[in-house]
Amino acid sequence: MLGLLGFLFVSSAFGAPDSNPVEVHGFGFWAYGLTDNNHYLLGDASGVYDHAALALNIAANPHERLSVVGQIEFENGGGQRAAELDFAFAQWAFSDAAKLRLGNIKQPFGIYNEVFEVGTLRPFLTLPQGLYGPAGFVAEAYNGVGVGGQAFAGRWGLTYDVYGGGVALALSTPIDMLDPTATTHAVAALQAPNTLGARVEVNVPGDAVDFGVSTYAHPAEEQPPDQLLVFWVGAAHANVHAGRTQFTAEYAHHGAGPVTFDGAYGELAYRFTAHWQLAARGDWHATADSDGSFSTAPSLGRHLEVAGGINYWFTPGFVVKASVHDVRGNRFAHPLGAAQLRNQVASGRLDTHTQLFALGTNFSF
Amino acid sequence: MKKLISKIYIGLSLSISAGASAGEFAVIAHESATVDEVSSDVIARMMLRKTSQWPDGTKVMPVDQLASSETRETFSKEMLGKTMNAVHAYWQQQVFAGRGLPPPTRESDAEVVAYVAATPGALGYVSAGADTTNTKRIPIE
Repeated sequence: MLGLLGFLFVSSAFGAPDSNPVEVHGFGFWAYGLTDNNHYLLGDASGVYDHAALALNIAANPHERLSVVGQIEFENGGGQRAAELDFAFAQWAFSDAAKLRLGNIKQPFGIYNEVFEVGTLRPFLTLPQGLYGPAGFVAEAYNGVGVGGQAFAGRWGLTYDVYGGGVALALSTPIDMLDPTATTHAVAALQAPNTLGARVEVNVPGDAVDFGVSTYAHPAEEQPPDQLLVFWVGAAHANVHAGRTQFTAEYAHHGAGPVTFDGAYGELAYRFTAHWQLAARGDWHATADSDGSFSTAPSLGRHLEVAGGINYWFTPGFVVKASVHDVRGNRFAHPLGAAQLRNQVASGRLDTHTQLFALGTNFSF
Repeated sequence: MKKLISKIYIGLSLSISAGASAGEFAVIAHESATVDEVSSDVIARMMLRKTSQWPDGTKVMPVDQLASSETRETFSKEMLGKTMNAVHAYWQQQVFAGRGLPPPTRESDAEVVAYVAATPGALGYVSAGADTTNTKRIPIE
């Protein structure tokens, strides 16, 4: 594979010296994580060293109006290795205002979803779990068709996307581990085959402020007998970039059905020198259950996190990050073994407080 | 839409803008460019590949200087309203979302001039004192 890429050519840096028929870019990360008890993100109580990934992005413009692009990722973590297709699609540009996309396409949602794994575009090693964790808010990509574009009015800009197709929502439900037949925790892909969605973003003059809304809806996999049950998600985001300071905030709501949930976060980063950056984040997720499914262990539906980090940017494409995370709730922080979780819930010993230390690097080219 | 865009270019004075008259860079286009003056917003959109056509329908072919270039840093701040870190982040976002690729770069003013002179639709920038023979200097509104 790499030999083939080398044969095709290769332009790697952003703004490479020559325009080539095929361009290859990439990104990756490695991280260490240590928690004080529960498993959370990159770490557990014994310390985890094996989280790493490398992704290669390949793009070409075989025709003036046609672009084709794909991305593959090789991932290592939790004792497992995987290679997966992030996306692959073709785009035909009728104009700047109307670009047709067909294939397996990044889901336009919020600020980070289209660059889900690209650590050099964010101040922490991991994304805020309240929105981007395995809560069923987002899919990395949809399979189908989309139309997007940009329009301008004076110095204001509008970026928009509408799409339809199938998505696989990343979903982890630790509450299901209380089922006596469950064995271990896993992130499942919730299939939503008939999804319609849109994102609209306003670019304020000066390119320092963007804000927007995202939404999508799909019929529930299991329908009640006498009505059409439609799950929907609505979200709003704002991104302010002023000199050395960057502030990002998002809120999302998942509605319909007996269980609904909300997520939100605010993230602030400040470069106090050309290389050093401080970062802080507050992250929240809450579950509302009208059927009482979380009554035995309400903490399995809750997440409240405060995090602080310090980063050293060697270049915009290479950064070393360290962060500490203080988590209340077990929506995303909990034992991985189902039997262990059941025992802790039954005995009232489930620790609802988790602390994580993370150290690692992100890079891109 | 074309009428609206054309209005941007019609009736504008030929004086050079504050950005370009700072004496640090000059915006150049292929000799066949039909515009006499362009607003800084439109230049920014073209360089960031948000706008892909000149008002006459010719495809915009932007070219950048190297990231280490002082001219590029000045151009990015004054015309794009972004630091070089922000420009880099913008292109990372575009590339990894599958939305676009950055313009090619050239290592010197002379190489940018040569690219622009040889490429219909080309748009670039060089230091203000550079020899821009065979290109068209574009005053900025």
